[in-house]
Amino acid sequence: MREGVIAYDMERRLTFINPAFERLTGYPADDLREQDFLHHIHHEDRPAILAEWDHLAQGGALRDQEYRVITRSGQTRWCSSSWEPMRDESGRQIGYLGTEFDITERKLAEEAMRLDTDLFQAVLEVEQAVSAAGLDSETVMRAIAERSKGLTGASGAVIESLEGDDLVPLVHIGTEAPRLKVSSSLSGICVQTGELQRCDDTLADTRIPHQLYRDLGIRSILVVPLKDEHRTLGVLKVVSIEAHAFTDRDAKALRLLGGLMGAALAHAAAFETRQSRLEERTSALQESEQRFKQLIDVAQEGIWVADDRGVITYVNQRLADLLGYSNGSLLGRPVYDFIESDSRPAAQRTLTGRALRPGQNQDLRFRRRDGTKLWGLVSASPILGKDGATVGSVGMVTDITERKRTEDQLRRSADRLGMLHDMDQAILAAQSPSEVGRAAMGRIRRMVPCQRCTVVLFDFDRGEAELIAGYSSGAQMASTSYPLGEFSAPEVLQRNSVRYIEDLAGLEDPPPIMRQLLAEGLRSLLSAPLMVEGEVIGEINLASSAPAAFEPEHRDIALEVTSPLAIAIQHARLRQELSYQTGELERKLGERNAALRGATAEVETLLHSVSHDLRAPLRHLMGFSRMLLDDHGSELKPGALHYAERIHQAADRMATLVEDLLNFSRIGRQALLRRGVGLMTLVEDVVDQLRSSADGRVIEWEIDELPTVDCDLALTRVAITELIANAVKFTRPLQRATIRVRAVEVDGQVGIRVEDNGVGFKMAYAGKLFTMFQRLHRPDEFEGNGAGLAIVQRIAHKHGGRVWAESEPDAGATFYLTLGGQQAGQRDSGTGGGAGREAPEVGAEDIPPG
Amino acid sequence: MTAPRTRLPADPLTRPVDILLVEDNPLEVELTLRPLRELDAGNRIEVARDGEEALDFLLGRGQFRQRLGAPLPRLILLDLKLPKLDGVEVLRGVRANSRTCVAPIVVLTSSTDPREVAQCYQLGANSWVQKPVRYEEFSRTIQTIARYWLGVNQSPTPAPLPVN
Repeated sequence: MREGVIAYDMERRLTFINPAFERLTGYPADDLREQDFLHHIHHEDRPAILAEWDHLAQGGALRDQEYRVITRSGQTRWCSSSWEPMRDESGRQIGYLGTEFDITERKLAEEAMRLDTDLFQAVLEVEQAVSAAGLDSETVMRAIAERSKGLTGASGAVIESLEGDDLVPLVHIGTEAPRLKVSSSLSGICVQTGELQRCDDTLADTRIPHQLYRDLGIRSILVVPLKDEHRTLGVLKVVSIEAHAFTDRDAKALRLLGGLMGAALAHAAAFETRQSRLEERTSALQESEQRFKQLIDVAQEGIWVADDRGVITYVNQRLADLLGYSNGSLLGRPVYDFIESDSRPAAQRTLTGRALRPGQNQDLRFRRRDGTKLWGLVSASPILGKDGATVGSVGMVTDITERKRTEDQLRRSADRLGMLHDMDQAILAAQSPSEVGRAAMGRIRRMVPCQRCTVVLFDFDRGEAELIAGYSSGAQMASTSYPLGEFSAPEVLQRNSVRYIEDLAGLEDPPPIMRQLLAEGLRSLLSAPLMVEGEVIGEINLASSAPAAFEPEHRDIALEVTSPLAIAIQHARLRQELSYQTGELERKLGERNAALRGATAEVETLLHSVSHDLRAPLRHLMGFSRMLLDDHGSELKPGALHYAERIHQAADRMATLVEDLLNFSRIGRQALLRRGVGLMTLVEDVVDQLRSSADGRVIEWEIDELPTVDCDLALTRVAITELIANAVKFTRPLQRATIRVRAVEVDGQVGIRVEDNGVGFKMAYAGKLFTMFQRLHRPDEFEGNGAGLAIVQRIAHKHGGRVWAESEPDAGATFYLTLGGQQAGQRDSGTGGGAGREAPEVGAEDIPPG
Repeated sequence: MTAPRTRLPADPLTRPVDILLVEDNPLEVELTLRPLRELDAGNRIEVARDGEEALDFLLGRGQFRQRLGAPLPRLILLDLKLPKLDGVEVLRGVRANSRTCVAPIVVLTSSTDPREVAQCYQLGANSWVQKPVRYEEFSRTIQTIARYWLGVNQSPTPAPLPVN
């Protein structure tokens, strides 16, 4: 690429530099990266860029910029730059993308031309001044001094008159002008030699006294002699406070003005006849005109001169070449004839009349002889007549067709990238096919001029077409279904090719949809299929009210869109399907869970009411069997007495079972009341109670430091009592029992472990331990009904914790109980003993004050 | 099964009563009466078999019209699950009447529902006792109640009947 392309962030730091920009600046990209963009811009152009920056920050529209870049070797290169905002995925602006077009050559030519145009005008003006002021040499000199200063960019201009050995200032503008000696000044040298003198640095020039010019603050001087035919009358001098301020062009300009001045002076002094003055003037004009022609004929830019109606009076060879005409065939025709109709109103506004200002640039589209387009950067300046009115214009055309094309390509690439990005976003966001389609159509209608664009999906099995997204005349279209038959034949639709109908009106027998489009005023139709895995799933349709509205690049864009769009739509469909199925699954799962919860609750209720309702008949059974034994035991025969006792025993056992069942079910129904429970106090309390029931036995208790745990005090008490009571029970056969209680922490859950050296059990039975009414020992070995550990497990589960055991027969057993809750620190470590503990903490808040 | 009317003593309509047992289950009645008799065979005990009968008896209505103005029982043992009107409704009826509202009522039940306990106390039950399953314990509990309410407790004298 010939254009420099750079990117910079919002702090103006360069983030990307292409090779063309490296060539432009002479710096390798690595030296530029992360540098302030302004650093490489000519200091005079920086304020304009900063102002543009502010303008953009306040939401202003993008405008092309022209500025000078300082290259590595210190040269100045002119750039024309167009900026495009860059955005991240969320749409936030992260910087600008700049296309930098090197226009240095054009700028120089422009400058040169402006100089000569100015010179041309200056001559006209001086002419005017002379004719207006007549012999008033003061006015003429002042006009010439002003012109000289302006044309050369000097800080000051002086006209000095030779009087003996002195040079006396007659007119001075912008600088002090002391009387000078011929022997010791540059003006003197000029007078003596009769030639132009130039001094680029007064402080380094050995010909002149430095102090004089230092005092005046002058570093550069250009001075030309003012002569009549016979002698030198004085000098015309321009000075600058900066060294090396003047160029060769300045020198030429000054020389010309000097000549003009000399003629004027001669006239004023009546040394010459009117005839000779005219000759002088004509020759000056001829010289200027010749110079002008030479310049424009070698220029790289096309140049025209036109009269006040825009009719071309002169063109250079370059412009003729650019437009593909011969020089002569352009003359006499309005310049607008060669400008494209869409550019023409702008051109007429700015190339003639009052809006025409020097140095104004604009991009215009020209039409070449062969019909192709030429993008020109046009810089036009007015030519002013003697009365100050515009009598014509000079225009300079730089061919920027290539640059425009690049810019267009860049913009299109950005749009295409944007579209791909949208598709990706859509896929990620799992939007519906319609949303995906809308996003794509929103993009495409900005890139392809069309009045209507739609995404249609086909269902070939059901013979249906569904319009899922679209815009018609800028408005969103609602989803609709059509019979597939209203579109083209399925064979046509299934073909993997772009179809372009240049004019619907030209179709012999259009399908209904196309007839409808035609009725809506649409003429051309571009259709591109949406393909997924080799199958057509639908198409996008772009329609325009103009016949043959679509160009090959529009077809390219349409094609580019279809591939990601098809994939995005397919994804969206799959996502919808998936989400529907997931939803269905979740719904079913929810139903099952609800059913399960219901069933569990029912079982709980049943368990509770059965065990509850059993209590009354059980009491009766026990009561009456007791009465039988007490009141009539003595009357019963031994056999009858035995059975009566058995009945009573069985009832007694049943009473135990019913109580256990009730306790078990109560744990399930009861709400958990968590608070900090100090396990240390609780375990000591339980051990105290159990110690009394294990009278006469030798039990060695080892109780480690235990944590404070967030749990339900009452339930935890039940569970711990059960575990420790078990340890006491199953160590009974031992001479010397050891029971250890320690803290345990597993998977972030805290609790206790109770270890004994009792009879233990086979690990094969470990799974049965916690089943309700499941026992591992015979009743004559150890009492109990197998409810205890089931209740412990229920309590553990209720807390989100668990209980498990490790054992070997005759090698003791260890039971682990975790209660889920994190250790609650020490906030409540002193409580939890249970006996004296009443209301839970929340209770305090329920008591109204007073 | 309906209990025979003859279970009520011969002069139930006028005589003073020590204990009114409100209980529908005849087995339960028999089981409850035994410890009471063991404690003191002279206790005058009446049994109401449903809530309506209990309220009629206490308020002197219906078949117990003649009891209107008769002294209140010194103790009412009230079961909660009863035909017609349940225990809670009986409790409410007794407490709503200005004359009977002072009668000591002990709720005797096999329920363990804490909400029922709270409700009964709110409605003015004097005590709530859960019936133990084992007979020895049950018998002891019944006797303790009777001993306390008949021997230790002092109930206020009911307000006199309003003069028509």
